[in-house]
Amino acid sequence: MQSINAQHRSGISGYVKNADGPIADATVIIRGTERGTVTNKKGYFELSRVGQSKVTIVVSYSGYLTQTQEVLPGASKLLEFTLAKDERQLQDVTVTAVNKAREVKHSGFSVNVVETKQFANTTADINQVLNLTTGIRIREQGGLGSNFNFSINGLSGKSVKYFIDGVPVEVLGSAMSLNNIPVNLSERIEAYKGVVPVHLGSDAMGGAINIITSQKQTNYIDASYSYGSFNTHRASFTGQYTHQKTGIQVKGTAFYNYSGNNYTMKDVEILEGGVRHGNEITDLNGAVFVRTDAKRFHDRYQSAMGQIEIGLAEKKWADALFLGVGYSQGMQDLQTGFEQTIVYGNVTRKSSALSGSLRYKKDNLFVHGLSLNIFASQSRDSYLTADTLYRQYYWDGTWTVKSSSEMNSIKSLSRMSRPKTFARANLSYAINEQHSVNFNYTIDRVKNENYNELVTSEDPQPGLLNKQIAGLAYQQELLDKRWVNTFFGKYYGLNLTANKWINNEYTAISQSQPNYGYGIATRYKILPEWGVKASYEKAFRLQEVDEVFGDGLNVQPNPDLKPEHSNNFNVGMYYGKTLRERHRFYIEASGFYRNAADFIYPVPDQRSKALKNENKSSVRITGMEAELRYDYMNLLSFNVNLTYQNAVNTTKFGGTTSSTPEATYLNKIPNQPWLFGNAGLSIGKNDLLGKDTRLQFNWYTQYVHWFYLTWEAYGNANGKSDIPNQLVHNATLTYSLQNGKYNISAECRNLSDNPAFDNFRLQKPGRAFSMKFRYFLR
Amino acid sequence: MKLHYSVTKLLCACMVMATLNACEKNNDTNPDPDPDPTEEHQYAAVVCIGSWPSTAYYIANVPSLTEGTITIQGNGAEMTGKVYAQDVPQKNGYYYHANAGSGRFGKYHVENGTLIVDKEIPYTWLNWSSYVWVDDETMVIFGTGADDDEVNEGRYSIVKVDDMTITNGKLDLKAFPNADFTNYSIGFAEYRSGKLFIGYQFASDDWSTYPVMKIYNELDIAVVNYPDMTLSNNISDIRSTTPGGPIVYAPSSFVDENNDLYFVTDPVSGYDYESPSVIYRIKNGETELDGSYYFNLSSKTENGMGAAMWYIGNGKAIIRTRVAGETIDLDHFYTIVDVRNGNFIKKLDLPADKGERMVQAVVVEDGKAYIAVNAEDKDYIWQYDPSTEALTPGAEFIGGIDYILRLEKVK
Repeated sequence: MQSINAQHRSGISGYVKNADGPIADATVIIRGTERGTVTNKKGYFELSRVGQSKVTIVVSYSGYLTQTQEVLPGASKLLEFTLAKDERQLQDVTVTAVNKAREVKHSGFSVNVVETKQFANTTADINQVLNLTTGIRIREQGGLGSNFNFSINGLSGKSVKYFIDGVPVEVLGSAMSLNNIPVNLSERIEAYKGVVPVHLGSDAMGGAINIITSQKQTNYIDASYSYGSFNTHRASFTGQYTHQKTGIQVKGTAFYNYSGNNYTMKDVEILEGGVRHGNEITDLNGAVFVRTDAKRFHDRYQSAMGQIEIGLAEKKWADALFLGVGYSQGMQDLQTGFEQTIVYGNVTRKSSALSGSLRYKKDNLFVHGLSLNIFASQSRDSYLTADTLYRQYYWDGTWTVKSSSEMNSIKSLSRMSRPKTFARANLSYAINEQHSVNFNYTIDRVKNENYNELVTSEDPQPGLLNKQIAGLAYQQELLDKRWVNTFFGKYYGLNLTANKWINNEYTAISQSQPNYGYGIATRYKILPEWGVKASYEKAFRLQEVDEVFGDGLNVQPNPDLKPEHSNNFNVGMYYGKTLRERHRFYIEASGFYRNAADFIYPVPDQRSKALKNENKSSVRITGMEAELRYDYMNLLSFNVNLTYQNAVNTTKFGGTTSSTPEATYLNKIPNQPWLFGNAGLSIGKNDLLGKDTRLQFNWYTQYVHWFYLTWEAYGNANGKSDIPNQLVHNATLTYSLQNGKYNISAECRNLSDNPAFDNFRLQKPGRAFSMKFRYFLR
Repeated sequence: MKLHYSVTKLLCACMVMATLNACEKNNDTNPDPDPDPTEEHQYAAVVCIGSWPSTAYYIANVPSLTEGTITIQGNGAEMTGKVYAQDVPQKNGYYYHANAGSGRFGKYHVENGTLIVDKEIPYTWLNWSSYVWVDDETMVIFGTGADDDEVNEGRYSIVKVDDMTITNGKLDLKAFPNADFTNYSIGFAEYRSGKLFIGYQFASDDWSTYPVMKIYNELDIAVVNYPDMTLSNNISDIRSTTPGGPIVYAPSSFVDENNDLYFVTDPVSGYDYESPSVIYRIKNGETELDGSYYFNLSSKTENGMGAAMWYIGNGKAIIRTRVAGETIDLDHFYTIVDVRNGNFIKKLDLPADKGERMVQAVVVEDGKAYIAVNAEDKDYIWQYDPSTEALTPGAEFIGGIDYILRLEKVK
């Protein structure tokens, strides 16, 4: 409006800094208008055509007190703001993390970024934290450590890949999974949906989870222990020490989980009658099924991990050079099969893994703007499933002799061993302020051995997988960084070899195929706090070695398998607004589209009971998700989100050769949540019960709308099975002393003890209590 | 410029796709062929839709074999979640299923469009593959099982289906001939005048050289006195193998009006790619094979295999015959054989059956055979009248049913 006037002021510019130096990405706005900008790396900002009247410039930055300056017409145009830390905020706010989180969130990619400090005093694991965010649904079979299926915007299973600081989690062994990594070990979690940046070099067709651990350079210790219902113990430790003189740095990470998981199963079958001898029912004559509540009796879970890294940081020749060694192990009792009428009482799984790693990082290598990041590791992962009794168990722990093993096969001690060599190199070069390129290369070599120890002592037909993925991305930041584009291409090289029996002879067979993917991510900031974005990727999930060659036990080979592939689109926007410097609103909404084909599934053979992997089905998913967040200063925070996804079967012809499309073509995929949401409220106050204390209360509610177990349109409505509405509330109360050095929390999960289910109505734990102690020293 | 164009195009594409998706619902409004879907009919069909892992089984109403349409849209009893299986033999409207995974044996029926669990009893004695009705109230089921010594043995259970009470026992089968064979596969079973005839085959559990499996070139039949279950005789023959597949899916034997017993073998189903598929006879009153009778089905059907067999009457049988090959996942066709006189009559002029490998596909009514064919084009129940040799399409399965697994007469 003002700018129409010919005699306008040329503009306002200035610097924003704190006690240590410039602040990048601070928000600068003209009060009472929608106009504003953000500071660059030097803390510099410019606002052109400000007009002639008096204006107030408001500068804000997370973790700092907001500052204002009035600028009179004709006054100095170069302003200087020195922001002071907001001492009211939680003390462990790490400014760089906040900064980075926002940078990721405001990129062109569709990504959930969770800063985990808000969960640091809860007993949550990574899964539970992500389950509260948009578009993500985790379906666990039971309690702590149970199998789970992670779904991002409707794509799940092996199409979702997991990383810790950009390195695949499986490098650390199969005992490591998102449902046992305590939240304290991470600083931030990024969940990329459908379109995955090249630096996570992987065939993550559905999306990728990247857990970022603490990047602090200071010494610290973060240790916690919790105890709760079902005899659940969880301990975690992470710390870092730098020897000032030599610059040698030591980082340590460890966790331990144990749970009895002996929660109550409601209305399950047990046997009454029959002839008994202890827990054995020796004669089933006269025995009948009756329904009752029973505690789970064979579901203990234990996992432990330790990792130590020693190296140097911030040297001339290396920003970081670390050598690491890690060990993880897990032990798990299996309680049920895919439905809860299948009860196990003696099947166990054990795993252990040892890994060694090297990591090197250097910015401005040889020339300014060139960064190199290398990671290499060697690991050995082994896995044992024991199913050695001819028994049928019942929910009260009694059993009868059965005609086959518990898992309905021959007795087995199934061993799996996977030696793995993994290396990743990432090279990025900033050509100038606007243009940069990133090249990423990973090589992943796994030998896959499976055998039943009771039958043979080695796998006569081990499979070998050699996976190479290269990615090249070009990023441009245009219009003063308001418009950011990333273009990328990926190469997936797959080489599989195995020895197989063909015509009574061992024959080496191999298969190799290249696949090419590509994509784009773009973001445009209409206003400093209002951005729109869109992204696309043609993505692949490569077939795995045991999928192609079988596992030598139950899975038959299928050399004709093709990779799963998908076209993934996202569009989204975000908008943030601060009112009177106290109320902050943030809204984010996006739509997504996935068109995925050739999903690989192990299909059971009715006759031989063996499995064979097949490219079985295709699916098209459209959906939308939205999140609204409101913060009132440092006192209150509220957020609510909702996800709707419509997954439609696009498998036109099913098992039979037919000219008629199968009945389920274009029908909604059954047995999958399609409408779900979360709400969270957190309220906390400093110095309420003494100086340097904080009292904090968190509430989370999760809702999953009911869905059909099978195809919606088919079968008489009278006899259709469904998974009912689920509504679960969790609450945590935390008291922190000495600026967060000592923290004690009381937590209740599933407060109202509502029924919670999963696949085929497998019951999950009811109400559970826990206490957590956390010690955090900086 | 170019970039901006492509971004716009991308956004537009997303919008269009979202819109398309929103208006595609309920575009197929098939007329409901069954005005009252809960009304109980004389016939039913077990069908499967969806591809793995979202396959689902339903028991569909079949109002008529000869006319109209059969659909499960809003219709039919859902099996998934209760009995997720296709080996559900049926008698008088009741379905039976032994589930080794959850250790139970159950009796079920359909009422008001819902599959009702009449009774489930704990049951772990055997993994079933075969059964026979001794009378309307007594079913004898057969299979294998092992004690803690892990040596497989042939087993039976006599089930009084009225109250689902069970008597278990062991079959007196021949011992394994050598260490290569550690299991039995039990095939056809028939009851005739106080005796049970149970076909079986020695089998290997070594899958390491699959699909080349160890084969024992002999089939066996245990002749067992009922109800004391003592062995009367064991018949062996080396001219074919595998006397019937798992017949809990489909039958491969019958007893005719003359009280003569016929059964058909399916060697490929037992991984024997050499032996022919043969029909044998055990004459009324005998406990040995009829030495004068040997009907080589393979030689008449370009090396076809008899996957299942039903008796039509007047000495004639209809055989679901699989085309030659080293797997059972192949096309099937239907052949008519005058089993009594050992004459091949014809291959029925029906579309190739692309359906499941083990299907209860035929219902015989008033001397006519009604055949459910999973064809490439339309899936009809075909009527075959042996007196006129006429073949006419009847009721049609509509709406894209993936597999027709069982066609049943329930009343």
